[in-house]
Amino acid sequence: MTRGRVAGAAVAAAFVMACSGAPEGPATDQYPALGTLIEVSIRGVAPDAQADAFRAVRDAFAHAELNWHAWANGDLAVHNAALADGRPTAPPSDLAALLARAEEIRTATGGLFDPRLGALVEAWGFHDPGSAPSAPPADAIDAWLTGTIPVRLDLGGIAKGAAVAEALRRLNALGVEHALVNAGGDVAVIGRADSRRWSIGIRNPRGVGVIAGVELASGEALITSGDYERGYDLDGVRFHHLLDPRTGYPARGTASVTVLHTDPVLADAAATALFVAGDAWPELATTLGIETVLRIADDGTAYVTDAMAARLLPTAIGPPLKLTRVTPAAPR
Amino acid sequence: MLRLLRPADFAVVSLAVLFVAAVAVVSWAPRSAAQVAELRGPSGIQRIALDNDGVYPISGRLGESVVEVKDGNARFVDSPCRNRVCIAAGWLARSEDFAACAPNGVSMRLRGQGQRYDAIAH
Amino acid sequence: MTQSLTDRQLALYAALAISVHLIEAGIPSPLPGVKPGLANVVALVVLLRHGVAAAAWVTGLRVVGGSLLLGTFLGPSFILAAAGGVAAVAMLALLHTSTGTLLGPVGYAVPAAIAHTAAQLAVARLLFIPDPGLWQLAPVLFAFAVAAGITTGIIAAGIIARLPPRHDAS
Repeated sequence: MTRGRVAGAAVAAAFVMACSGAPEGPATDQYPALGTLIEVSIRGVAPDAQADAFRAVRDAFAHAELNWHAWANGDLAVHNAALADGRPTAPPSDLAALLARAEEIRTATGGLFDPRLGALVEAWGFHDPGSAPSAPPADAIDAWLTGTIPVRLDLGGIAKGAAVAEALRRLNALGVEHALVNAGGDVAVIGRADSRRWSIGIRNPRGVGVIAGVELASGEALITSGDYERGYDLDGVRFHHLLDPRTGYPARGTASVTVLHTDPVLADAAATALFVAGDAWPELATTLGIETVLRIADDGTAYVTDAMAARLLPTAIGPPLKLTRVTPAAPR
Repeated sequence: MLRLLRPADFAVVSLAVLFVAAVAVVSWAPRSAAQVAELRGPSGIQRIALDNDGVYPISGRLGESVVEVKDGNARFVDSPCRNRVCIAAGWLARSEDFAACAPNGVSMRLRGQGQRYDAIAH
Repeated sequence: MTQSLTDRQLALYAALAISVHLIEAGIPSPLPGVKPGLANVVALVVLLRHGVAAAAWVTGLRVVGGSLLLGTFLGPSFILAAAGGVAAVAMLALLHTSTGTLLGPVGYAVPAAIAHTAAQLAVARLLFIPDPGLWQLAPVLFAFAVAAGITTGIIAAGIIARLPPRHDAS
């Protein structure tokens, strides 16, 4: 080897090292959809391909907002109208699959997750961020409990998870290897953030800031249902959108439930059902095959499964999270 | 017979200085107020929020090293190694500050809050 | 172009190298066991006068003998010293065969010191401290290495100038 080549190689190596060390932050996109803020981060995508990737995700959320939302003018609205009129209806395959999945999870949760709550959600006004009734809709609740109200399907407890899953599928199909999609608390990732994993902070349901963090492996989803998401206060009482199908009223006893699972759809529905289940959540988690759960009770107590305790990273904001370990019974 | 520095020596030293500069650029990390101390030992990682004042043992190959957390800073206060360089490193205060006891196989790295989360689950 | 080394000379060089090794052990480093490689000064002198094989011998004897005297034989410090010694000698050998008479002692000593530190850092990361934060120490350690390389190169040049001329020198 000549001297010139040795020197050239050394200089080249130094430059490669210097360049590869420049922090390559993810490219991000943000917009409102599905009644929340969508945040998308992708990494390792050439600048001229980023627009296509973001467009694919925006399309996925636009499709979900139009067709999986009960109060839009898309496929689910058409389906609901047909149901109300007693007409036969055959929704498109994506909606049909989602409805089948919702029904499957409804059965598995013993009805604690229920896609048939649409009319009740509407009576409470949770379908419309601007509306707030002056009193609980007692008549509609009675009608719901006695089954005399027409069924209106609402995929609110599952559509965000499904949209996030679809967004990641589309990114993956475009060859994006590293991505994070956050639909207002429904977070799913593929790949890594850089030298580390994607890192997610879990919001404190009873204050500001983050109570804990979790690092997600590729293909994992972290989904939180909280009573702070949608709702209003009536005479100092909080009424939120997570309705208990057994009472027709917002479920009590829980402030937020966070579920970690590889399937964002199951995790989304499970977070809702475990929220509604209240103190009976460990049994339901076992039934659903969900191992990694954090539940913040109404009084601020944090309950975690062993699997979640192993994943939580403490945060320095606010007092340290005191964890109450819960070991769900082994499935029979 | 031997000149102290030949022209090629100057070239080598220049390249070496360039190399050190490149390493400095590569390993440079933005520093912010630290929030968490990550303690690594043979048995895994332990994370301590820096507002939890206290004394934390971490077991290593030779025995227990001890970390003290106080007023948002952290330091090694005891270690079963001979040179006790980790203790001489003193207080760590900023994110990415680092100290290690190599013979005992334990290390401490401070992490900040700002860059820790890629998303917040609302 | 190099003079064969008698066992007696080899032992003398090794003893000298071990002395420097012991002195260096007392110099603090941000990462215990990771040293800039001052003891390579003897290997360098031996290399320039007696060739690669002799330098490897001296380095091997230094690492084993030094760690026996320090009581670190087969411990982490020994493994780090061995990794540094092997890397430094490998770098010296590489420069010796690829650059001919182009480089002076400083030109040898600086890359050797960098190789010494790089190998020790890599071994420390792989075997002892699996913490990515370790790289934060790299710029400091490499800066020490460059300074130590320049120092050892100048010392080596001084030593070689004062040693009796080689019999086979042309």
